[in-house]
Order: sequence, then C-alpha cells, then structure tokens
Amino acid sequence: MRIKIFDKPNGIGSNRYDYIRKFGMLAAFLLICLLLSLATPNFFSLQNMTIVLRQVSINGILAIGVTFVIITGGIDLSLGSVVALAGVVAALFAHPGEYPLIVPIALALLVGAGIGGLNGLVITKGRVASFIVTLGMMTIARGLALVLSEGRPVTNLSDSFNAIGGGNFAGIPIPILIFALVIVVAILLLNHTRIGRYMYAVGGNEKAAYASGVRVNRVKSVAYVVCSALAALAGIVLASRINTGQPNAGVAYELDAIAAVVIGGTSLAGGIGSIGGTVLGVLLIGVINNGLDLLNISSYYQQIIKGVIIIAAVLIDRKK
Amino acid sequence: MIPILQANHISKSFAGVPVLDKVGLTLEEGTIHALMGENGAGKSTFMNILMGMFPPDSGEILVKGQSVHFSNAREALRHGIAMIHQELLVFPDLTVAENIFMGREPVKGLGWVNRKKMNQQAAALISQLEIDIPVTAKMKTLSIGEMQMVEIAKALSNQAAILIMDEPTSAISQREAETLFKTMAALKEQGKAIIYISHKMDEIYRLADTITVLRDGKYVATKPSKDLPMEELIKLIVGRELASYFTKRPSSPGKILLEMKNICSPVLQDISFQLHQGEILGIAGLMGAGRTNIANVLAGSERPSSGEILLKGKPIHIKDPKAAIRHGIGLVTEDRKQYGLVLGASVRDNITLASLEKHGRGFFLDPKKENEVADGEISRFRIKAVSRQQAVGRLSGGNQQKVVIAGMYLNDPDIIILDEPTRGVDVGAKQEIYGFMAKLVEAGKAVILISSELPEILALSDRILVVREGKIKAELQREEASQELIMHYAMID
Repeated sequence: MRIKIFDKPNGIGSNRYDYIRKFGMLAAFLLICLLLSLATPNFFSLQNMTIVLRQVSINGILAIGVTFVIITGGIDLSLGSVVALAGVVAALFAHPGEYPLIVPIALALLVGAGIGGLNGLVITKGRVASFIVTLGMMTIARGLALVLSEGRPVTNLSDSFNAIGGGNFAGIPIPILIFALVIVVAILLLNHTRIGRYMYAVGGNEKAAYASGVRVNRVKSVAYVVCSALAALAGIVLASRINTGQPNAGVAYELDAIAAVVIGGTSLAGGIGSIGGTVLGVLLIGVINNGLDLLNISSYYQQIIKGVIIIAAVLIDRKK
Repeated sequence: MIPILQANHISKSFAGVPVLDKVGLTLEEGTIHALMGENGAGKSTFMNILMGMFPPDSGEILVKGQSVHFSNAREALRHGIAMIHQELLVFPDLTVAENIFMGREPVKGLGWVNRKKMNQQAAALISQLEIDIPVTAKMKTLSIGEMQMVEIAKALSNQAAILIMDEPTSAISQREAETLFKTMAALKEQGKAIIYISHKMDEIYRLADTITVLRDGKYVATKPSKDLPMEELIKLIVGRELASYFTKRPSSPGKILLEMKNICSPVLQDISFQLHQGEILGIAGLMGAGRTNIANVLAGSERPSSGEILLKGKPIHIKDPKAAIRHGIGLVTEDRKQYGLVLGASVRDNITLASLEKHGRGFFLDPKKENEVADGEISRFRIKAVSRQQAVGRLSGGNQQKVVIAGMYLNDPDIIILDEPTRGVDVGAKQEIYGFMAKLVEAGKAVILISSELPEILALSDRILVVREGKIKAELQREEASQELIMHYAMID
C-alpha cells in the first residue's frame, strides 16, 4: 500500500502519535520520580507516595470532571466556586446528630449537578460561549456559598462526615479511594459508552455530529453536569478534610484542574484527550510540588515551575 | 521557442517511500496545460516542488531554459511561478486593493500608504482580467469566485508568468466558472502559461491545449487535448478499462415514497415534488439556487416555515437530523469536511457514528462488533485506509466520501440524498459511487441526486428538477433533458 505522507493535516493526533506522546509523558514522569528519589531520601517511600496521592486527589477529581467538558470543546471556570458551594451545603447538613451522612453528601452533589445543568442549558439553548457562562457561574456559585454560610466558615461537623477526607479504609486514605473510583467510572463513561463517544464527536466536529443524529445539546449538557457534580464531590472531600464548610475555599482550583488536563494532552479545541492523560497530568503536578517541598524550594518558585511545565507540555505536543 | 517552464525527471521520496518517480512536464507560453490523475497520483507533490515548498531528490527545473533551485514559495514567485490555492487565503476585513498589495503597498514619503496609487494599480490589474470588481470593496463581501479573481490579480501584480490553479471551480457556481474561463482565456492571450488541475472532464476539454497524466507517482503521457478522446484519457488516468463513464440502467420507478407539498422557507418558495421507489431524481440548478436547502429540509437540519412532507402518504415532522434518520432518510452532505466527518477521529468511529445505537449493548459500546462492522464497510466500499484506526482526515477525498456514504448507509435508509457526491473525487471512486447508486435503486430505494455536473445528472437521473431562486422551474423527463435545456431553466427562465 502506498503511504501518503502529505495527506496528514497538522494538529490531529492519530492513535500512534498519541501513544508516543503518552509514552513520552510517562517517561518524563518516571524520570522526574527517579531524579527526586535520588535527590531526596524521603521521596520514594510508601508514606510519601500516600501523601502525594492524597494531596492530588481533589485536583484529580476536578481535572477528570473538566476533561469531559474540554473534550466536548467547552471550558468550565466555575469549578472552584462549586467546590466552595458544595462544601458549604454539605457542612450545613453535617452537624453532629442532625441528619444521616447521606443527606449532606446527596444534597451537595445535587447542588453541583444542578449548577452543571444550568451551565449546560444556557450554553446549549442560549448559545452563549461556555467561557462566558461559566465565568458568570463562578461568581454566582461563590456568592451563593457566601449567602448560605453568611460569609462565615461552617464548623462543628460530625465525625462521620470528617472521616470522608481524613479517614482510612483498609489502610488507604479515603480521598485516594474516591479518586480511584472516579478514574474507573470516568474511563467507563468516556471510552465504553455511547455518550462518551458522542462527546468526542461533538468536540471534534459539532456540525457533523449533529447531522449524524447526535443530540448535541444533550451530550454537552451531560458533560457539564458530570463536571460540576465531580466538583461538588471534590468540595465534599475538601470540607471534610478541613472539618469546615469554607465559603472562600477552592479559589482558582479550576486553573489547576485545567492545567492538569492540558499537560495530559487533551486539546482545548475539543475532540482529543483521555482520562489517562489527565491522571498523568495530575500526578506530574503533584509529584513536582511534593519534590520541590522536599527539596525545600519555596512555594513561590513552585508556581513558576508549574507554569513552565504547562507551556512546555503544549510545546512538546506541537512538535510531535 | 524555449518553453517557459520545464521539469525533467523529478523524483521525490518521503521516508523511503517513492511519491514521484521521474515525472516531467513542459509548459509553453500562452497555453493551458491540464495536469490530471486520481487523488494520490502525485499531482500535489509535483506542484509543491514547482512552488519551492520542498526540493526534489533528483531531476531539474528550468525556467526559460535556465536551471533554477527554489527553497521556498517566495523564490518561485520571483521566477514568475504563482499558485492559486484551492482554499483561498484572504483578509476578509481588508479591501480588494489591500489584499492584492498586502506587504507591498505603494508608499509615499514617511511610509504612509499611497491609497490612491494602490487603488489605481489594483483597478488596472482587475480590468486586465476582464472582470468588474470594485477595488475598495471589503474582501468578505465578495463571492468565492470573485475572491479567486483577486488572488489571480495578486499573482499578476507579482509579475507571475506561470499560474498553477488547483481545482479552482470546485467551490464556485457555474456562472462564476464561466467568468473564470473567460479570464483564463484572456491571460492566455497575454502570453501567460497556466497549469490547470481539475477532475471535471468538460472543463479540461474546453480549456486545455495539452494534457499530462500522472498515475501512482509516475509520468503516464502528455498529449494535445484534441488528439485525446475522453475514453482514452480516462483509461490513462485509471490505468484500467472502465466499461463506460456512467452506469446506464433501465428506469423502473415504483410507487410514491415521499412527497413534498408547498414547502416554503427563507430560501425556498412553494417546493412540491414526488419521489418514487427505485427512482433517481436529479436536482439541478446553480449554486445558491436552493438545491441544498431542499436536501437540508428533508434531512432535518433546516426547518420549513410552511408546507408538508408526506412519507408513504402520511405527514411527517422532521424536527432534527435524528428524526430524519428514524424516518429512513439519509443525507450525504455536499460539504463533507464541515458536516460529514469528524476529521480527527478514526475511520471506524466515523463509519459507526450515525448508527452507534445498532452496534452497542444498550448504553455501552461493543468494540468487537463495531470493528467488524467498520471492517465490513471498509472492504465493501473499498476504502483505502492504513487501518480502521487511521484518522479520516488523512484519507484522500474519494475515500473520505466513501466513509461518509458508508456511515449514512449503515442506518439502512429508504431515501438517500446525495448532494454533490462526486465533488473532489477521483474518476475511480466516482465510478464506484455511480455503481452504488445503481444498486440502491435496484433494491427499491429512492435516490435524490444533487449535482453541478450536468453530464452526471443527465446520465443517472430518471427525472430532473431544475431549481432557480428557490423555486422549481422545470421538471424534465430523462428523454427530453439536455445540458442546454437545464442551463436554460437554471439561468434564464
């Protein structure tokens, strides 16, 4: 068979290139881990690994959520505020001896999903750019969190609620287990269901997807609902971890999540990306932050280094 | 006389794979030279070498007898070679004159643009093309055909003596094509040489003095067009005998399957027609006449403001493409890159997208079954792809079109609408698409064929509707229809 070199348009990743890219990212990740193991005595220990995983679990849950939205070609800037709102809502119903544990969790998740649904509705039916809608929602959700908490941290939470973020199950911190479960379900949803395939199609070419009978509005809305519900889950974990419903929590969390998604090779233009890549991006950021901590490098420098990595990852992506 | 351009024994390999093998071409001043070959025959690579996009591995290029080496398009332009690209690169919010002189604006002292002089020079260039476009108009207000003219004017302002045109008529109306042909004739008179790439036989025979054919990266033949009958040319291009250009078939339409009654929309006015089982209904007309709007109404992507659609005698409401698919209506769009394909996704994902519900287990996908289905379609339609995992954007135009058709057909529609199904498609794939249509009507399906290529419409349709300005101007039976008659209704009355 004749190989047609010049039929390749730029910027579209074939699976082969994706593997090379992912492999490259994995190699970079392992290299950094190796270097850190050599440079610091504590990095390569079960205890430290557990710390890293627990630290990244909240950003990980958020990043996986926003991966869905970005694959459909959108963006969600309201995540950080949803984290705060969900945390406050959960905390308000998590005082000791008031309601069973399921109530605060279910309510917070419902509020998150509702915000996602609203985002999706305005973006699809109202035909407003997702950047604008979720920018607005960022402020609305933050405002709601402040209103519901009257601007004060909601404290005095039950032990069972606090165990979500602080407890262990079978020796493993519960946030890590939740993160792992989210990864599995997300992979199932994105790669093994019809709606997951439709998300890729909508992000790749919305008009063609519509003409093929895909309910584009519905698919997009589901992505926003999943994204915000996962943000709410992250909010529950965070509130439990700090034993407080903090209306000022989660500021700029969406940017860390989007950074991890981009480092993981998901295209902001939509249609291309994977949960595996996002998880790798999350771990990369987490390991570097942890390593720099262990090396006693100031968190100011950490910011700079994280920024450099984001740009470098996209540059490498272009060069492939 | 020394030829203005000569390319001898040009060879080029990419990563060890030969793409061009000792290809040559001799271009004389004041002639139009057609370059023909199936998609993937090496035409683009050859032209890119002439344009200096990359150097040949071996061979020589002579301009007016002088050996030249280009390392970029700017150097090629300095030797008078310019290309009018298939996809035009324009600045929509700048004027015609500004576009022509982009980067080379005539200036007064202090570097201010001399607008008056620029507009005068632009107007002179435009009139050299024997057309009429105001040079102060914004580029975005022009039609694609007019933009093409501006590109040509830009090439002339760069003193181009050799113009390479890559399928210039693929996206413009018949009327604009006529203007382009007139301009080409004028350029030829002025001694310019044109290399013309097109798949449209009637254009080639009308315009070209000489035809060079490439096949699989090899030089096949160069002949004066008057000594090369069409059947023989097709044989040279495909390298195999084709029974005939078009598949002739007996017409035996059955009962009425679909009826459009008094459909109106912002574009369409009172469209009524019937479609029978086992029939190919041709819809002819100029671009923008409303042909595609009729297809879109049936396919659910445009909603009519009034009128009704009857399917087997029952009124139906087609609110979106999904509803159309459910009613057994399948559309192959005229713009496969925009509306037909997810270019970055794999061949498999594109084939199964519209019928995914059929190949899964409820909510979940069934990759094994999906692969089987995709492989079946790839071999049935003879889609040339490295694998089902290849990104569809990397296939040739003909193979992309087959992917669109396969995807549509997996829903097993009773009514198939093909909007410009052979545009930008090579002769071999065209033949296969005609064969597919013949099979559809044999199986009792109804086909609506929308095409700008009149020979295609005439050879394949049982009946032909001619559309102009959103109205059906004529319904012609197969026997009475002719190119002249169709163009008469399409353009005049």
